Amino acid sequence: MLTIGIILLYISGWLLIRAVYRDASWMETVGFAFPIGLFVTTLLMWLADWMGLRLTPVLLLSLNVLMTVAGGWVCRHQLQRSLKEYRFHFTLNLNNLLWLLLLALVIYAEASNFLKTVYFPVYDRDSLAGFDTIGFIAAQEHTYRGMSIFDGDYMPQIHQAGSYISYMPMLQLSYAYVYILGAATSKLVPALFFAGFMLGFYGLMRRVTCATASIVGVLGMLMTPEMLSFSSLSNTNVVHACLASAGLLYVCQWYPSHRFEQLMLGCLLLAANCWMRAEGIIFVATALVLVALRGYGQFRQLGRKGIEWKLLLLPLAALLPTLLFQVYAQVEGLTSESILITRPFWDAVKFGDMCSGAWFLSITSTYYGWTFHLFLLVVVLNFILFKKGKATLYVAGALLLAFVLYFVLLYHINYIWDTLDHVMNFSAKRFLFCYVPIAWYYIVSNGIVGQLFHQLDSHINFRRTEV
Amino acid sequence: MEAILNERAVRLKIIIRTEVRTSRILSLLLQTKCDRMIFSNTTFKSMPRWVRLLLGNLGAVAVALVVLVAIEKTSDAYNWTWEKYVVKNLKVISPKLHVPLEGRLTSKLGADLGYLIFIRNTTPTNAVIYYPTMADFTTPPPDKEKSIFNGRLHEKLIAVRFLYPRRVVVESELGVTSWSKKLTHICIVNGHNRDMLPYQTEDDFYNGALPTDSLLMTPL
Repeated sequence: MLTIGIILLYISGWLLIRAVYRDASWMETVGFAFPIGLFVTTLLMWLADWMGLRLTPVLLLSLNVLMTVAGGWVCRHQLQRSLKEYRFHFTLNLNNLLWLLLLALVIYAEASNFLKTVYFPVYDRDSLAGFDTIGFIAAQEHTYRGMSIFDGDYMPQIHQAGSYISYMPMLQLSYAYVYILGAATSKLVPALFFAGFMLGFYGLMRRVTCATASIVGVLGMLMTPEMLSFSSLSNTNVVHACLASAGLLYVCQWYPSHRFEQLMLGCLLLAANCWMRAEGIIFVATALVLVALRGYGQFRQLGRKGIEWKLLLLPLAALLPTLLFQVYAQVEGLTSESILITRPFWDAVKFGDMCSGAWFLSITSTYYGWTFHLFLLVVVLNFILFKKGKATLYVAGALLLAFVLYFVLLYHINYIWDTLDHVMNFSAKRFLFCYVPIAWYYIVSNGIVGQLFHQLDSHINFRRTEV
Repeated sequence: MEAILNERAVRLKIIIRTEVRTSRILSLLLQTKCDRMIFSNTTFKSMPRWVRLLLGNLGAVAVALVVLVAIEKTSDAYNWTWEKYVVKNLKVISPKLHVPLEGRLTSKLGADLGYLIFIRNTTPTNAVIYYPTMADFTTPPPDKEKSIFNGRLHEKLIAVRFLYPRRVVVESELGVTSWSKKLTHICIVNGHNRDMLPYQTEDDFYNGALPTDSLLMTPL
């Protein structure tokens, strides 16, 4: 039953991506099919639970079949055309030996990571005292909102600040999904999520740079020490990073190409990201700024009539999961003491601690390797030396804006359940995962490095480079 | 209008000129110098295309290997990632794929998990269990120097995960929740919490769960 459930998730995610972005490559489609399938399935599970339906294997599989049929109906013309034009052909595009070597390293490293992820059942504290246990109990009791661990008499601390009751439910419901379908451990979810992201991220980069540069980007991202080790755990940090970075990168790709489909897929991933973690709104805000900037550019070129205001609706729609969940939490009483300071304030000590924490995290190689060193180096090189490089600086700008917004949000959190020092010293090492793929995307595709890779590729590629 | 257009044309020309110059610099860096060294060499040029490609590829692979090994050797972070994480995990896990899930989990969580599994196996599914505190786990019994537990599984939700569907009650809830008034079992760890039982127990009973009703006691 679990195998059928996972296959249906992939098919529904695949169809949804095809419906949104017709020209998505097979790598992007397969890579992001699992997260998108999970996003829509968990959304439907949550709605069904809210309507009072029991979360049973029959219901979950029915929901998936329904999604697959609906997706197939939307994509029927595409599917018909594909079936008519289908001819079996297999070409092994080796690109070059360097690409092959790096690909082998990526496969080896990811195989090891995948094996570690699925070998060990959930053992990390955050998952056992949160995500995994919530998913497990939801599966046992066939409900989310009515779970015994959400009962104040059984868990009196449930409404305290920072309680798991107010967490966005995507990962918990994903775990419930696999447990309901008979899994002994939920580790398959993070394992498939991260492995798919490798593929999708490669496909994303292939749109803007050559094969060699793309595989360097994937290897660089994969080898980021803290991120790789965290990807084998069951908490939200890495899966959130996959969704946030992929979503924002699609919006960045839309920015110069102005292809509506890329913005659609980007916003879909950002919506999934908001369904995963509350701070997903930061990346939506960054996407909104990019869309607004584009609108301003149109205004300068074509005047008021040239602005497509409706485009702003897409990133705004990505906030819907957050808004819906807030309404649901208020209605169902699944709230906890707020930790957010909503008024503007100035605390020099806190600000100083934040800045030094952010600087330390970016500059130390222990957690993120040389990711941010290289990123800053290529930003400076492009800005000073290479005129053409400025054309890709909006990616770096998006990363920096999202980074600043993240720390603004952290500044507005009232650390009543933990000390700021403790958060900066122990938890903060996970905060920058979202920026790692974006940084590597920029490192390998920016003007100066992209040109260098292109030149190299043109000398050693067995086929002519397509980019 | 014309003046603006002229100004834009001049700007465009400057941009194009700069871009041409920069891309020429790059070409010089990559093509001309390399060409002079390798590719423009007459012997090299006279070789068939596939040989040239192969040599170029082998050269690129050799340079990449040197760079990768240098990074791995010089950076502690990347050295840890490759040696201690990627290679070691594969080496350690591959021969142990037959180990059952509980064994894999015990290898990570140690005696604390063994304790929880023991409690699960010795209590009925409808039990309401008093679960020990962190201090109970880490404070050794009077006649021992060190506790065998590290207390990492002391949190209520973690206990709920492993003991489900049994109900778990912790110290802070005693007298506060309705469940704390329905306790059926008390968890004894390192000999602590025996005083919570309404009857006397043996002094050497250190770890386990005992029913609050002595009539429900079963010999172990």
